[in-house]
Order: sequence, then C-alpha cells, then structure tokens
Amino acid sequence: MNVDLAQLSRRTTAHLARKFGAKNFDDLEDSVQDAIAAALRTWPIHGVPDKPAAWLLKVAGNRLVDRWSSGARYVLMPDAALLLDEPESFTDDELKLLLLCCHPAISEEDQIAFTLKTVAGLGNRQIARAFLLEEATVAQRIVRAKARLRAEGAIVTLPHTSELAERMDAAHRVLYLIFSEGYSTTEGGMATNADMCLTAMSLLDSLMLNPFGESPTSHALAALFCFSFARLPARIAEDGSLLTLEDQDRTQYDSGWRERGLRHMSKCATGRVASVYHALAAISAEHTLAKSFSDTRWERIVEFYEHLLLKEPSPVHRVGYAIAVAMLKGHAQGLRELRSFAAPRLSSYFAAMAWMEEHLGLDASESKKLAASLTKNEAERKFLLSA
Amino acid sequence: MKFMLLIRGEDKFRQLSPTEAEAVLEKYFAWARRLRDEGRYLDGDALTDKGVLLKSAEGMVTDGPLPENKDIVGGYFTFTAESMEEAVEVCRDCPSLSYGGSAEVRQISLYE
Repeated sequence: MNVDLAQLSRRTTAHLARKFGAKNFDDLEDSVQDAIAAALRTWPIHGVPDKPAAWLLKVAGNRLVDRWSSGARYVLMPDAALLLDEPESFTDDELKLLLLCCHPAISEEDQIAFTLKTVAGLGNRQIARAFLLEEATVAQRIVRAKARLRAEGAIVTLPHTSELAERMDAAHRVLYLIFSEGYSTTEGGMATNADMCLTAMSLLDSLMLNPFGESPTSHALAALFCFSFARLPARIAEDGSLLTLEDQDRTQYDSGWRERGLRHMSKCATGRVASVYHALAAISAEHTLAKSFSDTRWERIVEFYEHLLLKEPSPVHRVGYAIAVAMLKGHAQGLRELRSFAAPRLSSYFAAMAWMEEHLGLDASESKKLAASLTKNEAERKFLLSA
Repeated sequence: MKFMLLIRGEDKFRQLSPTEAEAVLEKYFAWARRLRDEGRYLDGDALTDKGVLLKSAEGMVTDGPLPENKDIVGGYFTFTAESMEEAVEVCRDCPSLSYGGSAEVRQISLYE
C-alpha cells in the first residue's frame, strides 16, 4: 500500500492555510491530525480512497468548521482540484464502459446516475446526497438503466474501437449534465455542489488522456468547466447566498482555473466542428475575462449565443441570449426577446424577466414570485426573494 | 463462533507525526488484510467521537464526546474464530494496542 502521508498532510495543511489564513494555525494542524487519525481507523477497513488528498482535505475541513462551530459544512472548493491526484488515462475498455453508460436507450437522468456509479465509482448514497434525491430513487434509476441495456442487448455489443470517436458525443453530453447538475444543486444551503463538478472534470481529464477522447470538442467542454470553476469563488457570498455576474467581485476569480481554461480554448479551435460546447465555452470565457459587468463584450456574447441557438435552441440558452441582448441593445429589447417565447417551468426565465422589468420601471413582483416558486435551489430562492 | 472486537482509547493516533502514522497505517493494513485473507472478517468500522449518552428514558442526555475520553470506543470489528483463545490471538497484534489503545474481545451470542 503506497500512501505518502507526510506529503498528503503537508498538502492538506498548506491548502487549508491558503483557504482560511494561517491565523489559527494550531486549529489547522489539529484538524489535519484528526483527519489522519480518521484515515488510520477507516482506510485499513474500507481501503484507501481513490483520492486520498481530497478525502483528507474534506475531513480536515469539516473538523475545522466543526471546531469553529459555525454549523456549516465544509465544501470542497474546486481549487482543491489542484490537490487531487493526477488523472489517469482511460483505457479503451474504460471508454467503452463510459459510452455504455451513456447509451442512447437510457434516459438522461438515468445515464447520470449510472455513469456516476459505474465509471466514477460513487455509491448510491453519495449520488443521492449530491443531487438531493432519495437513495431509493438513485437505486431505481440504476436498475432501470441496466434493464434498458439488457433490453437493447447492449452489454454484448460494446462499441467497436473504430466507433469510439464518433460516439463521444454522448459522453460529452453526460459529463456536461453531471457538471451542470452539480453547479446548480444546493447542498446544505450552499449554492453549488463542487464535488460533482470536480467528478465531471476528472472524468473528462481521463477521457482526454485517451487518444480517442482527445478532440476539439473535449477541449471546448474542458474550457467551459474551467471557466465555470474560475468564477465559482465569486459566485457565492460569505453567507452562502448567490451573487449575480453583476455583483461578483471579479478579483476573486481563480486565475489558475482561468489559465487552464484558456489553454483548452486554444486547443479547441482546430477541426471543422464547432460544437455546442464551443459556443458555451466562448460565452463563459468572455464573462471570465471581462474586468467588470459593464466592460463585458456583449456584442461578442450575443454573436456566440446566435451560434448556440442554431445548434440548440433550448429555453435556457434563449434566456441567456435575451439577457445579452438586453445588455447590448437595452432592456426593452431584451424583454421583447423573452416574451417571444414561453418557458412556464423555467425559473431563470422569470428571474431574467423580473430583472428587465425592474430596469424598465415595470412591476416585477409577479415574475419574481414565479421565479422563486420554480427554483429547486434554496440559495437561489432566498436570492430571488431578497432582491 | 462470532466475536466482536471493541477498540478503545486510540487517542494516541492523534499525536503521531505523519511518517509515524504511515507506519501504523501499514501495520493496520497488514492486520486487516490478514483478517480478510483468513476468511475471518465479517464487518467493521470506525466510530467518530460524536455521540450522546442516555442513562434513562427521561434523564439527562450527555452531549458530545463521552465523559471518560480514553474509554471511547473508537472502532469495532466482527470476525470469526474457533474459540475465545483463537479470537484473543487474532486481536493480540491489532496495531491499536501498540498505541495506547485497548482491545475488548467479546463473543457474539448465536442463539444456540
């Protein structure tokens, strides 16, 4: 068993010191000690976790938060990914397994659960907690996924190696879904479940290390993830509430993730295919690189949204487009854009509408109420009702 | 026969340096692996020090770490052995014993 506890403990301490400051260094050290003692007692029984550094950091972080008794839960922030163990390339067989989990016969929500279980190695309980589901629901989704595969005879027809590259779309899609679910799920009042986002990122890293998985589209997706991570620290206020792009302190954007995003961006521009993720990554890059909300290059964002809508005219993207239009051409124009379609179940549709109505001096109370009633995210609901 | 090993007083674990801890970890792995390899292992886990102590249905609840810190059960294993003597032998080289811990071996009732 090869575990370098000295290195792990050093990294964990260093990370906590950066995160929380070195003022109460004793507390930091005690928490790391606690985490190591916990490792001694649990690893021999359950095995060394896949990501020992992340495991220790999480336990130590929780102990620290306990010690300071805020009652909050330490959320593994994405910059902790730098601590995570180097991703390893998927073998061709592992790629096939991933593609099997995202088989088109399986519904998207079942694909997510099935992939997290089979490929990411998460337990039903972890998946349930991450997405605020009942454990039984997750179990049911996995059973359903397997039943579909049986019905399709898919188990015996794993994709042939020559088909891998072209079937990668489905893998991109499911990783994107895991990431977005994580980004929009609330846990313990926190607005983002960074663990799930990190899981998606690390699966994508492994995917890209395999020659079949490394493609301009993979890089575009990776850029999108990285830019989202870069903005994450500024997205959530101290008290766990959400901040809009307009109110975020952009000095808090994480430069490590931003640089990583830019590297992926430069690699995604080859090839002939401009995927949905290219457009999404380009939009995300603009937001991440703009010095302030008003400095944002809205004309470019509008343009990227136009590309995106050609490929995927979903209500979520149309809302984003309307907001960009409002910034470029005025709120009245944006509101017209919003009213040109209906999205009766989409919270962000009504949140955007309320925002525009307020700017135009109109009554926004109805839109606000609708937005708050439709969100499943507690932090978001508070945010909508407080504004 | 089934036995339960209750491990108490592992608080010295907290005072180990990372490199010392690594040595313990290795011993522990070896011990736990042997339990499995010999087909004895049934179940086991570590307990956190969070808990409450109830002494009667309506009485006081003592919150948090229990009063006598060193007597806290830190973990348990259930395993099989032919006899109490063999069970004790299995537990004798449980690494916790070398670090201030104590091991209580109890036979589990079989309703025989």
